[in-house]
Amino acid sequence: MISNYNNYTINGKGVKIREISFNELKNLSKKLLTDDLKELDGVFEEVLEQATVDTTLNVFEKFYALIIIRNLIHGNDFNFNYNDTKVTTNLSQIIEKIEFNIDDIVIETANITFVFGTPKKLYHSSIDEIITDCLKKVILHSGEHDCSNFSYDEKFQLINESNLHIVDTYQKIMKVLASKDLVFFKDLKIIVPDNSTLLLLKRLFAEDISAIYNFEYTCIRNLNLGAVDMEYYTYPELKIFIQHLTKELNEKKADSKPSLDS
Amino acid sequence: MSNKFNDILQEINNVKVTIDSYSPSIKQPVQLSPLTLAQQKSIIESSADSNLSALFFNSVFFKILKQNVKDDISKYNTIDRVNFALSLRSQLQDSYTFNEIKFSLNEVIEKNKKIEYELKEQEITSDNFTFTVKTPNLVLDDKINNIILSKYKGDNINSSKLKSLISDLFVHEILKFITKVKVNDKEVEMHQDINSAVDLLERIDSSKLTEITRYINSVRDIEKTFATLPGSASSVDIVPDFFII
Repeated sequence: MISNYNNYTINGKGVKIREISFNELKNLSKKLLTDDLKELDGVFEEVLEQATVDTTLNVFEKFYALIIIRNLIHGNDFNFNYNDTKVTTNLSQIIEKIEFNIDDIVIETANITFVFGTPKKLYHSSIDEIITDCLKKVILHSGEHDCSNFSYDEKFQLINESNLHIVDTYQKIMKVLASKDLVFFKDLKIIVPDNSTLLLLKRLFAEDISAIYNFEYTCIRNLNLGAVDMEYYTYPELKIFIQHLTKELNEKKADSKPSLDS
Repeated sequence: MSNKFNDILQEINNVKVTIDSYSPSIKQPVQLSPLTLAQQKSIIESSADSNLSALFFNSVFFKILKQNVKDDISKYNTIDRVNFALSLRSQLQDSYTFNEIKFSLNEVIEKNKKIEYELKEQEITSDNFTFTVKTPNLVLDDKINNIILSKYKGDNINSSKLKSLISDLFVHEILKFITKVKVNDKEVEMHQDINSAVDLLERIDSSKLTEITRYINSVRDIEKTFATLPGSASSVDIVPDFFII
């Protein structure tokens, strides 16, 4: 496993992020063959768990960190088709525009005030899940209670027991989250806390699995690497090795060609 | 779970407000707890199954009333359910728009307090059968709904199943209202063994049930009166959509 972490600052937080190994990339590519959003959520949460250290990130910070991890593999550029035209966009420039926090959303019910903030999860299976994920504070007669240290299940129980209007609360939260949309390219916008962002992340990370296997075969055959080595080298590193090898082979070929003078 | 969490949860439960509703059947005020977020979600989810959605909703709504009505739920009948639904919905939002006209549900509830109706237990005789009929209480209504739900839940309702479902709905609906059947000297309590009561009812010539159907219609008409919007001939349908605002 790669243990060299780089230091990044995301929304003022120091976050350590490492590159993922070729083996991790291969396994990630296999796991990304699904379109099931819940499964994709599990895949990207696992990437974050493996490649970042000791940080509690909100959904915008997670997205930012995932793009960093992605760019460490593939570089900043992303190529795609837009209106039948091939275009390239710079992902680093896009994520620099992220607004990481939302203003507090305050909803009052009889005797209880609920304060909602930025969600943490990339995926929500239902509207009560997103309401729960956003719960930040509860203000009761006894005072203001910070809920950020409560487990998800505890917050879920508080929300379920409340008399909050489910549809109204959801709409108020989504209105604020949607206002923090990110321009991806021209009229293409991303609402980061929307489940569909997982499909975009899939597209950003996905590698053709047969190309990955071909590349691994080339590395094993020509660089004399074993399966264990793939845990320690990254995809870009192996690409550099292969480029060097190709260059060497081409030079050898040129040297061994009989010249016209001889 | 942490002590702090338990303290907050307890305080949330302690400070909940109470809704004042009214039971037309016993002509008394009734106190209800407002809908929790989890209950609102269960109502939204009950609208998913198209063939059985009305039964699903009634089953979900009964469970909610059982939790939220502050006294014994078996005291109340299906006519009361309309008023309870109006009260719970008005707590979410008093305004209700029907055909682009806005109504205040509190005004509907106030209007309902003035409605007088007389609907007593009756004996209906047809040839040698004597049926005792009565508006079903909410517990019985739910019990019979659940028998049908458990029979058809998860089934793919094709045309032949649909015929069987309609026939079951008809028989079970009538059964809800018949408390006793007397044939010659024999008397059968109909709500003790529902399956046997259904068997018995299916053997009775449907022409003998005409008066009972008329009684049921009069109950449903009264329920509709309680759901009627003031100054309008239209009434509110107590279905999941009514709560999805």
